[in-house]
Amino acid sequence: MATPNTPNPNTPRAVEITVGYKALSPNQKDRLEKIEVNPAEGDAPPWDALTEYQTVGTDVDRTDGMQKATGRAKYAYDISFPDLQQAMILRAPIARGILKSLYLDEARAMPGISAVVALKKDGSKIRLVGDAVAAVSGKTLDMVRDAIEKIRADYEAEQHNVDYLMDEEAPMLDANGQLDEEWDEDSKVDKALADATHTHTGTYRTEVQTHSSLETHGNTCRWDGNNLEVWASTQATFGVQGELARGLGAHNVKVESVDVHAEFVGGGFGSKFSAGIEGLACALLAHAAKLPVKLMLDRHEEHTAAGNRPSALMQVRGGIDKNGKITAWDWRSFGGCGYNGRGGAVRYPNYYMGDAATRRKHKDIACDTDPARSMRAPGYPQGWFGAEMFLDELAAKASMDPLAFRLKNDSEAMRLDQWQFAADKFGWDKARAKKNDANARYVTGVGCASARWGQLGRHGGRRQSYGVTCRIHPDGMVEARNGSQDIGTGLKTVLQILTAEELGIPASRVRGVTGHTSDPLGPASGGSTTTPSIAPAVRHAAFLAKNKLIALVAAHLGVPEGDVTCANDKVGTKNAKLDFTEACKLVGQTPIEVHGERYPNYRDKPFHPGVCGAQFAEVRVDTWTGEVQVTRMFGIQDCGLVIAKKLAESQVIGAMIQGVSYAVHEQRIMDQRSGRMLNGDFLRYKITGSKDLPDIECHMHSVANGHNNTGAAGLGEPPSTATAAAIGNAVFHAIGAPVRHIPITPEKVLAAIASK
Amino acid sequence: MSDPKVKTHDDLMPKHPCPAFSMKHILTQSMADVVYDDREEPGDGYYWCQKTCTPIGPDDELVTPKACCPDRTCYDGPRA
Repeated sequence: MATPNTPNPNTPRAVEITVGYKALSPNQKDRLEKIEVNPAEGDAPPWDALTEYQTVGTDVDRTDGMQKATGRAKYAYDISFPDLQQAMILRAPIARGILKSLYLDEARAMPGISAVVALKKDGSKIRLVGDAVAAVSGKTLDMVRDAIEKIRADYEAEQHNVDYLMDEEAPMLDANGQLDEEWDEDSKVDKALADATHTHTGTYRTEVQTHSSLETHGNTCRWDGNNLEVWASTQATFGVQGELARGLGAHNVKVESVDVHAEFVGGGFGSKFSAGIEGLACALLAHAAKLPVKLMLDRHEEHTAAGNRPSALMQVRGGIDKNGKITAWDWRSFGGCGYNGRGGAVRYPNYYMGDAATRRKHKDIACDTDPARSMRAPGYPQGWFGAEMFLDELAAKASMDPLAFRLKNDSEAMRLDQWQFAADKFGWDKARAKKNDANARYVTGVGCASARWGQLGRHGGRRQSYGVTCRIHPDGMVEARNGSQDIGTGLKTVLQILTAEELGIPASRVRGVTGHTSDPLGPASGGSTTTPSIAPAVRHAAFLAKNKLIALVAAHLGVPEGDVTCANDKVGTKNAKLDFTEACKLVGQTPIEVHGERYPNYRDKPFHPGVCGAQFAEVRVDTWTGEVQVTRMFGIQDCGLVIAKKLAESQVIGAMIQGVSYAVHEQRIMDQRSGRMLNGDFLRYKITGSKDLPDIECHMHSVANGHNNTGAAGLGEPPSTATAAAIGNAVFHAIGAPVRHIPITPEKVLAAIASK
Repeated sequence: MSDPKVKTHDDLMPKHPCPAFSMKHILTQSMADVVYDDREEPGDGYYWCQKTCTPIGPDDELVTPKACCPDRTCYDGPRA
């Protein structure tokens, strides 16, 4: 069994563990080292690189997979009650102006209407087409629609702008889309560029990507006196609890009187941290109607008023020395933001720059559209697209292979192993050497890009640490519960696997429960923080429960507790063992119940402070039509300890699919005249469909990081950083000219080919 | 001695923010994370008010770390 039984929970204060990872392939070396760590007193002893696992890292199915596939999983959208009222929001038709007056009485008098609430006052500013003005609930959506039409709202429109590049603060672009402005002087960068053997300058652009979660934002709310129960599509159960308590303070609502449920969530990607105006409106309507109310956004609202990944304009100039080392890196970027003028910052992979002279400047530009919200690695896919494409162009100037160029400049040792392993798996050398026929209609190309993130989890807030309840029931079933939401990443399965591993039982005997604020505190799912934050508490809870069960079995067998182990579905000593279910009968009628705590990460330096990855892409381009088909991708990704292998692979593959969509399909199209989004649906806002998908393979690189008892790191975001850049580079290789603006549409491909 | 150049999101947060001020990094307990670039505001730029559940405060103005201070008319806490 993985964990030695430690009946005395007082773990030694200093423990030597082995961290790192075993060789990825026969031609690489193990990267293992011993470090000393200091676990908290009472915590479970740390797992490390030498731990042999029974369940962790295996192909356990998603525990709620069948529920989801058969429709038994209940999302916020599926919650229903007798007399449940449906609700909608009236949204402003102008992009900028003032709400002069709002008349709701006629709507209130419409048949079947249970409540109407104003969300803006007379004189309020309107900041986008789709700004929420009022909300209505009623028996049916048709009745609500009819009532919304009876609301009289008068607006005073002002001149608007929905294109950040039309703003007076936006930079000038030349006819070729290149940023056309002088660089400010910088003595170090200027000298490094002057001394460089090769230099290059490129301008790169990305477009707005809406979140497009399959389940739209929204809630179902039900009041009982001053107590409010909310079924939310959220990434932050505890956040919504606190937010609604404050937002509804006028109704004598306190945090403890708000219960939030989010047992199943149909995606979030960073846009569902706040309860949102739709959440507050739903609670207010339910209060006014004295009936339960459901308010879910429709797809158009989801595209236009529920957040997005903002667009970016980036220009890089850089230089390399005669050995191919980067010596100068000068970066300036502009974020195309919504009305709040924030959230457009982009990041770039700085691990290539070494001792180079560098400079980074960024400016956000506002326009009259929906504000940016966090979206799966905020700022990374944009910046990686610009930076990694620039690297390929710079390598081309020096006649270097792009992979060799990266191997020379990447300063992260772990990724150097990953590059080589993944390149072999992908068949980089052969694919890269393949020449396209100059007259061929279809050409192919391959490209690569790096991935990075850094999330080792947190222990909780300033006042309270995260926790997990573990119950061992007399019938042999085990529960592990945490109040955080599972937004589709698989937290329930993580609870299940870790508990099973600690108790030495099959995963099928454990039930992971998430998404109720009545359970122990957990984090909002942002920054890839959920699993690395919760996992150590799951282990600790299972460890404490195991010790209680061991005490019962030891007493029953008349042996010292130190001789008893839990392994292979049995509890006992070498000579006397009980089946786990038999042992559980000793529990009596009341289950063993313990609270596991998430202690802070060890203060000692971990093996690696973040996570690394690399991706390779192959494309086929139709040079007559300009159509790009991504045909094949390979990704390698570490996330510290790989707990649920199948789900981890699903995360990486899902990120790559989303990246394909970002690279070649998704684009919000705004009408400057009306300020409206013209393609706010899935018909005209194209996302990747099953026929657009490449063959995708990924390899999970399990790394023992040694930062807590489990060593899991964040995974949701890192693989999404690389994909668009790898595809962009593959298109460059295929057609011999870079398309520096995503989505890489046929029009842009044909223009790039014509420019050669 | 800690490196004076190392900044966290907390360091970028003005003193006495309104208790109704919210952002992702508060919910994910990431305010103590080190900021590796030259940003001037904490987090990733999407801020909202817990009283309105939008990026606009009760006074119809933008929610920002600097603006949501005790001087603001809608400030929802004890004055500093």
